[in-house]
Order: sequence, then structure tokens, then C-alpha cells
Amino acid sequence: MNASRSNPFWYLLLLLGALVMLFPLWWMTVVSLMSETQAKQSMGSGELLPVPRSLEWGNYADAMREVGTDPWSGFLDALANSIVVTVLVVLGTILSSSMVATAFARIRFRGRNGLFLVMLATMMLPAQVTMIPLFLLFRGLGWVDTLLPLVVPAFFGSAFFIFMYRQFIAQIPEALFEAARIDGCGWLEIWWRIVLPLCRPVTAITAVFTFIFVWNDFMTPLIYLHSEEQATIAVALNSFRTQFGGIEDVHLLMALSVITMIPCIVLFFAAQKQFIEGLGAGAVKG
Amino acid sequence: MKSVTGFIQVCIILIAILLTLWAFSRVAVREMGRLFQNSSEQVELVVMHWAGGGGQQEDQIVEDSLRAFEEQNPGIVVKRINPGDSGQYFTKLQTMMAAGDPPDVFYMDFSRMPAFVGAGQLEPLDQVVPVEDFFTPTVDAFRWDGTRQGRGPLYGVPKDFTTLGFYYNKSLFDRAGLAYPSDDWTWSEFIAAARTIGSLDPGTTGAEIVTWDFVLRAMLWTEGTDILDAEGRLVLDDPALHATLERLRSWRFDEEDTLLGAEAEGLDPSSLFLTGRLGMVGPFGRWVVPSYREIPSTDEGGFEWDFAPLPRGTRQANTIATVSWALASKSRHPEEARKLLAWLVGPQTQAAQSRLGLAIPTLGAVARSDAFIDPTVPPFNDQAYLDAVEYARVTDWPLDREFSLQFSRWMDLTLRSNRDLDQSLEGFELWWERKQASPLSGQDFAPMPWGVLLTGLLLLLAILVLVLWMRRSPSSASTARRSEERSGFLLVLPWLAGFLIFMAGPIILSLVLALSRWNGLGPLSTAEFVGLGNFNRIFIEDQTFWQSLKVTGYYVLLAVPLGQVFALLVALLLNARLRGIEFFRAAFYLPSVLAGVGMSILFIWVFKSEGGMVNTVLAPVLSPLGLEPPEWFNRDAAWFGVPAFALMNLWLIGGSMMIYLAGLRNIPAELYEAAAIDGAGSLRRFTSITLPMLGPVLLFNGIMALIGSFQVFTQAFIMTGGGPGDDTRFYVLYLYSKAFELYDMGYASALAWLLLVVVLLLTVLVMKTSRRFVHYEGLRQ
Repeated sequence: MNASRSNPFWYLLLLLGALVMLFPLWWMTVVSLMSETQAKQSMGSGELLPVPRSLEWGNYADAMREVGTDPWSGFLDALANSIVVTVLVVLGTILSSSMVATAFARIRFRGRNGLFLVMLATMMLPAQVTMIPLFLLFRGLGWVDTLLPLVVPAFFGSAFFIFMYRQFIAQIPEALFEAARIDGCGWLEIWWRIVLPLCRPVTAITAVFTFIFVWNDFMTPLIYLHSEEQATIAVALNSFRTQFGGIEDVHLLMALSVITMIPCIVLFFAAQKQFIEGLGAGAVKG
Repeated sequence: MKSVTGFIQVCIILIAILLTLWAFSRVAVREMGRLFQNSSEQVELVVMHWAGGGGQQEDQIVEDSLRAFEEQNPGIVVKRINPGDSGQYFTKLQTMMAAGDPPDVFYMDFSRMPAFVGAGQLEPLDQVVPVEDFFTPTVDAFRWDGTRQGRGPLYGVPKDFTTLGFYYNKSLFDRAGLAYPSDDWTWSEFIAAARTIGSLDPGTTGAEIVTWDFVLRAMLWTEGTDILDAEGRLVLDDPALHATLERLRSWRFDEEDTLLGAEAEGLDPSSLFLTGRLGMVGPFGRWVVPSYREIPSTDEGGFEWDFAPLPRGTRQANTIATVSWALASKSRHPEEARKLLAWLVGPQTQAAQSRLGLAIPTLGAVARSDAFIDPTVPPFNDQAYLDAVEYARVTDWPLDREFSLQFSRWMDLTLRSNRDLDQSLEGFELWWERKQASPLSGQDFAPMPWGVLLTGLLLLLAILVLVLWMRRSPSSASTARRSEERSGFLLVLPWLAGFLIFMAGPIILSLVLALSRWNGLGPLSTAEFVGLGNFNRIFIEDQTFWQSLKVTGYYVLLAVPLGQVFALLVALLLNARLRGIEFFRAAFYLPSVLAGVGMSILFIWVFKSEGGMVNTVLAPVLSPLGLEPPEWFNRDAAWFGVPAFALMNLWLIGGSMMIYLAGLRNIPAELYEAAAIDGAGSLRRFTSITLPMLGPVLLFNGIMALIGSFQVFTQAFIMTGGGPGDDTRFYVLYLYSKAFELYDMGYASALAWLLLVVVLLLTVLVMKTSRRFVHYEGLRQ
């Protein structure tokens, strides 16, 4: 199957598929650049290959200004919240998951295998089972309508990434660990000075996938964040949709949707290697 | 070339760092402000409201009147909260009340008021303002005597109201040679006009009638019928009721171009009027006026429009939709809060709000002044809204909030999906009978024995610790060994603590809650123990549960095989050493990293029945066969709603695809070489080498897709909201609405537990049966 092909038929299939996959995104961008009148017309009549008559870059500014109730601040709040949550969750997941994985991979302690199996089993749990009690817990703590419920759990490790780190750490030569221990390093030090630097590939994968997941997550912020100033970008976009869901605002809606996607698109092209190899590393080699 | 990409990379990293720094400082400043506020001796009041169609303008008006109030009352500071739309508003309000820290003065809509009075959260307001200056029906809407609305103490002072009617396109009426509607026009005049306009040219449609619960009730009243009798009991056997609903269905489905139906497709129906190709739209209240005032005049390429009240059938009828300012019974400054409330419903604020055009002032004097009756801007028929008050009344609903929700759902089945009316009515009636007969609806239960449960749990834990203690190995182990043990525990601790706090504990609590009835408003101690009552109701009485299970099952059956086959095929295509393969890989993968709210919004338009991307492509393909493309989320939603989501899923399978690709790369090339020497064709090589070698990967992806498919939420929430009827009510959507919209926490916990059981059972089943045909040898080495 690895034989190189230059079959034109193969290219045609690929080209067709790629076209279908990218078409909606291209179309969304085109509509986001249309004037209100043209967007309304085009959407109403079902034009398949619309071409904007003029490039209305102002749509983007208009859409951002109209988010929330105070001009601009609604959007800026949402953007800041999303960035803060995403960065903290990425950091938390990397630190906690690599630390726990070190123990699971390298340290002998009683109950290790049992705990590891329990951890693997938790990957099968649908998150909805814990949704209500967690809400009650965070409500009891007074954390509802703050960013804390979104951020704090990340610092307690994520089963999937712990597993991924463990697989990687298990392959690090034992000699390194022994040398460190002979030098009198404790395990925390070993984790910080040996495991973390060596695990850079896994860390990159973890960062990239956690970023995408958190940035796009909608249900958790929907449950916990009620005020506008606490909203993440996904929630803000949903509120925007309820307010500007009409056909006369479709150009703005599309513009804002494009804006919310930009960070993920940039990350995707910047970290293609991690995206391509990441999931394979977790699932296939495991 | 290299230096250019390097430069771009540096730029991106720099921008990312700057953005992060900015974001953290912005959030930090805000949160610090929250922590250190409120140190002065001033009285601080909190006001909460939502912004409807008025958006930022409504904020400005509330803000202005609050500042004016502060100026007149030195020593009082008022803080304003606006959580967004009314849905989020009530979630936030309930959460604040449950935490014992409600806002002092806040918006309250009349249909939710009884529930809040029942929970002891609202303060009676009879002495706050002279109610005789207000339109009486609007005030009566906020009276509640414990059983019925309209009498008893006053719990909210109406800030504005609206009656309903149709907005019509004057320019289209002119073109069709029709007279404009009069103030007492009839339904026959209405439909005659709709038919004439619909047949003007292929682009025009006669009208759009929305069928929201309270709108539908008002339309029934115009024919002298209703679904509730004078005592508030559900009665559905009136022939006039059948005739009215059947007529509505027939207008939409038996005639071309008379009525439009795009509401269920995630579009705001009021906005369809703006295209200028729709003759009439409604029944709407005043709330659409600000956006309709943006319509350019005929000279500027737009059209003229006006308002006509709800047409009459056998009688004239109308409904009053109204929102009030209410006062929290737990307000810490009741005196000041009363003063503020009186100011907020006073003439100045009402006049300002009225100029925005959003709603009608509740003070008679303001409503009749030029703040409301303004002959210079449309609608010119302002008087009609006020005249309708004479014969309008407030929509009364049973206390159970699910009643109106279910009413909408069942009626949608007929009015949106063209299902048989008798079946829908019977279904609704049966649902209500069962709900009322259920012991969970009336009966009192013993409180949850939290003390016993807690003691039991602690005892169990103690036994567990004891057993572990006894089983620990003798202390002969070396100190080095023991210190390693300690480090191991220390490093695992974050996960272990997280597991106990965020996973094990909640799962147990969830199971306990599943045996309870609890509305989530009060503390946990108010939960009642109902045994298996919730499960009993789920299995025997709850049709929505079975429906959501059916929808989810249908989706799983479609999306898992379809998605996996597609992902595998694409992976095979991409596993070629071709020039430019990186581009194709990125193209197939990119949409999946964008799966979120934005993607769902985009796909509303992809699957739109008319003018949607899919149907524009399908129409020319299907028309030679004499077929029409389906109305995915509308008329044909029962069969095509779920498949639309399964198709959308194909854009989001990048993850599975990459895993397959990695699996394919891991297959040793020698195997193919050996097979080629043996003369195996490419199909044979696929079935004998590729598939078996991919076994474990297939299993992994399959299980992940299975688990994921049971948890569909965002797409459905954004694109259909579960409608029309319950045609796309995915399980988690139902669970969410039970928990966070209806606050039925016990019942929702039971639903969550059932989901867990179903997913676990299926996973185990798949794993067990897979043993027979999944080979691991390829990966073991």
C-alpha cells in the first residue's frame, strides 16, 4: 500500500474530497465578506458559488462590536476569558498528567496497577454522569459564574493524557533514572528535570489537543457561566446567534463564527506535525 | 523562503504571547475589582435584567435610568447585571437565589412568577406604586393567590407589555391590489390575502404564522376555544379546537406558497419579513419593531409596512405578554429597593423605553402620549396595540412548567412536521394524564435520609481503610523502598484526589440523587426520597425519554458505521506517497479541529431546506427522478433530521482518520510484498492484510465513536434545539433541559445514570464480541 502512485484517478478522488470538506468553510468566509443586501439575497436564493461584489472587511469589526451589551467589551471579555481558560487548562493538564504518569510508569508502589486500571476505565465514562453533582459542588463553593469550574479540574490530571505520557515515559532508558537517583534526586525533581524535558513531543501533542478541545467546548461554559463578562467565546457566539439569528445579519454571524475559528486554524497550521502524529501516538502505539 | 516562514512563526508566537498577557491582565483586573468592591458605607443595590430585541439600546436605557436614580438618591449605588438573553437570565437568577444572594430588583416574566412565589423568593408589592394608573390586565398578570393567576397579592409591577398581531408588507399588498387589513379583519380575509400574495410570483410567500405556545393559545381564543377549561383542566375534545388547528396545518402543508415554515431551522422567523418577499408575519408583539424600523423605504429599495391586530374568528381575542420588575424577598435593603422599583416603572423610564419602540408602556398616560403614539415612524397603527387591551387577557398555564413545553412539542409535530393532528392531541393528553397521575407529581415523600447515608458511606470508607491497613506488607521493607512508595503516592495524588472529588464522589451522589425528587432551588436537605419512582416514570410514563433514546440510537446506528467507513477510506486515500499529499491531509483534517458553535451555525445554512448548500446540489440530481430534496429539519425531520447530523459528522472525523492513517503506516511493508509475490490482488491484500492488521485500531476507533455518539449536544442544541417536536431530541439534550432548564435534578440524575449504564453495557458488548475477530499480533512485537 505504500507504493507510490501517480494515478490521476487517485488525485481526482483526493481533490474532490478535499473540495467537499473545505467548501463550507470557504463559503462561510465568502458570506462573511458580503454586504448585508448581497448576503440576504444570496442566502435566500440558494446561490452555490457566490462571489462577493465588494469585500466588506468592516463586517468583522461590526460583528465584534455587537457582541454582548456594551460595544466591544462583550467581545473582549469573551476573548480574554477563553484565552485565560485555555492557557490555564493546557498548563494544568500538562503538569498534572505528566506528574501522575511518571508515578504510573516508573515508581513501584502498592495498588499501582489497580489504580491504573481504574484510571483507564474512567475514560469510558460519559461526562454527563457527573455533570449535576459537579454543578452542585461548584455552586456550593460559590464558583458558579466564575471561570474556576472550567479551570480547576484540569490540575487533577486527564486520564487520556496520563495514559499517553505513561506510554512515552515507559520508553525512557532506566539508566537515566538510576543516575538521577544516585545523584540524590527525589522523584519530584526527576519529574521536573528529566521527565518533562524528555517528554516534549507528548507535551506538544497534549497542549495542542487540549487547546482545541477547550476552545471549542460549549456545554461546560454553558452550564457554569451566566453573566456576559464571564462568558467564553463559544457562549458569546451562541448569545450572538440568538440575537442576530436572522437572515439580515447572516454576514455578521458568519464573520463572528470565522473569528472564533481563527485561533484553531492558526494552531492547526502551526502544529500540523502534532496534529498528524498525536492521535496515532496515543491510540496505535498503545 | 525559509526566512519568511520563520518570520511568520516569530510573529505568531509574539502575537500569542501578547494576547495571553493582555487576557490575563484583563481578567485579573476584573476579578480583583470583584474581590475588593463594596467597602464604603453606601447602600448597594443589584439590578438584573435581560436585553431582548433591543440589545445594547435596552442596556443604555436601564443604565441611564439607574444613573438618574443614583443622582436623586445620594448614598445609594446601583449595580447592573445583564446575563444576556432571557434563557441565561433565569438560569443565573435561580443560581443566585439558590446561593442565597439574589439581586434586589429584577425582571420577572408572568409565566414564571408563580414558581418563584412558591419558592418564597418574591416580595408582595401592593403598596409600592398606585396600580390604578396602569393597564389593569397587565397588573392582574402578576397577581397570584397560590392557585391561579389574576387575583391575590401583586408580585411584580409591569414595566411594559404588548398585544399581538401581524406585520404586513404594504408594498406587496399594493402590488396584489389588496386593501390593507382593518382593525377587525377576519381569518378568512387573512388567508385570502396570503393566497393572493403567494401567487404573485414564484419568489413571494403569503405569510408566516409562528406557533409558539402562548401565540397558539391566543389564536385558539379567536375561535372561542382553548385547551384549558375555566378550572384550568386540560380539555381537548372541542370540535372548534380541532378545526382551528387542522386549518392551520392545512394552510401550511396543503397549499403552495401560502405559508412559509423555516422557523424550526434555527432561523429567527421575524427576520424573514425583512427580505420583502413575505406578505405577512406574526403573530408578534411590539418587540420586532426596532429591527423593522431599519427597513428602508420604497424609494431606497425597501418597502412600506404596518401592523394589524390578531384577526378575529368567531370573536375578537388577544393575549398580553408582559414583563415586570420584581423585588427579592431576601433583599438586604428592602426600603431602598422599593424606591428603586417605583422609579423604574415610573413615567420617565417608561417613556424612554417606549421611544426605543420595543414595548408598550404599562402606564396609560405614557402609552397615550407621543412617547408611544408617534405618527412619524412606522408602525402607524400604534393605537391598535392599545385597543386590543380591551379584549385581551393573560395566558394562564398550569404550575408545571413542562406543560407549555410539551404543548409546543406536540403541536409542532402537526404544525411543523405535518403529523396527524388527532395523534398529537392524544399524545399530549396522555402525557399530561400520566404526569398528573404519577406519584411524583402530587404525593409528599419523606426527606432524603442524608444522615444515614453519610454515616453509611463513612463506615464503608473506614472498613476499606482498615482492610488496606491490615493487608499492608510487613514493615520489613527497606527505607528506600518505603520512600519510593511514598513518592509514588505523592505523584499520583493529584489524579487520585481528582478522581475522588470530581468523579467517584459525584457518581455516588448522582446515584443517590437519582432516587430523589429535588428542584435544585433549595439546599440539598430539601430533597425527598422517592425510591425507584424516577426510574418508574422514565420507563413507563416518559415518552420523551423513549423518543430521545430512539433519536440517539438512530444516530449511533448511522453515524458510527458511516463515519468509520468514511474515515478509513480517506485514510487509505491519504496513505499514498504523492506530491502535495500534505495539502490533502490538512484539507480533510481541518474541519474537525473547528468543531464547535461556529461550525454548528454554519451547518444550519448547509442543511437549510430552501437555499441550503446540500439541497442546492441535490435538487438538480433528484429532479430527473421526480424527487425533491428533503426538508431536513422541517417537514421531513422525523426521518431526515438525524441523518443530517450523521452527515455533518463526516466533516468531523479527522481524529479517527489520523488514527487509521497511523495504523496503516504501522503495517510492515514485507507483508504486502509477500502477498504481491503470491499474486494477491489489491482487494485481496486489503481484506487479508490491511483489515486484520488494523483490527485493534478499528476497535479503538469504533468504541470511541460509539461513546462520542451518545453524547451529541452542541450541534443539536445550536441547530435544532431538539425540534421540530422531538424529532432531533438527542439524549443529552433532554438530560440538559431536565437538569438546567426545568431544574428537576433528581429526575435528570436518573437519566444520567441510565446513560452510563447503556454506554458501559454497549462498550463491554463490543469488546466481548470483538475478541473473536480482532488480532493483536501485529502490534505486540
